[in-house]
Amino acid sequence: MAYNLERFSVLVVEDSLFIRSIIVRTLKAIRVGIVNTASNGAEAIELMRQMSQDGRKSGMSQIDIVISDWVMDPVDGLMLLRWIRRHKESPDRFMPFVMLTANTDLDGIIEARDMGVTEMMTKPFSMKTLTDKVQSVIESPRQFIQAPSYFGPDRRRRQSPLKGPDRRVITEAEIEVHYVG
Amino acid sequence: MSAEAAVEKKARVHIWRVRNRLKDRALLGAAGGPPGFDQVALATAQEQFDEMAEEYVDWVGGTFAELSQAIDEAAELPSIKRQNHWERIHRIAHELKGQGGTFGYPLISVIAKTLHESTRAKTPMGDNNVKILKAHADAMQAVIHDRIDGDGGRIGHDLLEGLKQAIAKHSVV
Repeated sequence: MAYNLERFSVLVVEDSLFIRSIIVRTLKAIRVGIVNTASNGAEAIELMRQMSQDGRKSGMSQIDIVISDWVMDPVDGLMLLRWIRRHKESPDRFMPFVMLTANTDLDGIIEARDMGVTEMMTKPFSMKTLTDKVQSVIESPRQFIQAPSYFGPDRRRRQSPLKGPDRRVITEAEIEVHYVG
Repeated sequence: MSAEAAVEKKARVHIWRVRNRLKDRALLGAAGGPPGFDQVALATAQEQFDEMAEEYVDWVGGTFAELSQAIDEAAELPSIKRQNHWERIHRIAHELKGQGGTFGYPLISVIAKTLHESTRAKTPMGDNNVKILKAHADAMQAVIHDRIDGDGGRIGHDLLEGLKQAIAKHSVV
């Protein structure tokens, strides 16, 4: 069934006006109902705070997906992600977060993963990459793990044999499963 | 630890299984056909993307002007005072690296990548290094001026080779 995205709300956070425009136009073209923008993480946080206090004033009552650049001033994408996942004022700590980056080194990807990113999207990107990421968020959400040093989507996407020792050494009594919604 | 104590022990790990409301909503009132985006909508999205790629050539002129200004200003300063300009150029390079390939000019991304690396923290900021940055800016302007899209074939290869030679020349101490 072809998606009906009229009730979807996406927040695009990107400091480059040109990249921001192409993302917005693509999302509008696939008929996403509400697309809001911010030019850096600080603006995005302010928008979400306003949304929590007064949805009408901010023009949004919810955010379904955040698509954010990484490198921005004064608050970058990683700090924004941290705020969404951990801050008490976050409107939804489970919010899907797609991180855009021109940085392809493994350390950076691991850093974002360990902060709880949902999807990484490497620049340069194509229209298909963007729509594939949105589809992945819709079709394949992961369970969230809340551990002493991590909160975010399960970092193990696939059930495949581990190459090294299993570091998840916990008993069933130490795990609590919650069902939401 | 007794069995009771083990049960009473507070969970160390919580697993949250959240209902997929996004998909529920996406399929509410959805049209027939296979799950996914509407094909007509996808075609429109591609058209929008392609249109913007055409506009990119005009847009990037502003970014190049900003880059050239930062390099020219850096050249006027003593090397120990170039840090702010280096950071500015590094930021512009990062932006260009992400943009070029997105809009059909992957050579911009390739060249911007080495420009980005050349302006990392603690990279030397001597006069020769400024010349290396200038060579990058010139090469990127040539890509746009001559509309060298894709890998640029022979012209693209020659352009990158020319840049490599310029870097080698100015890297000689």
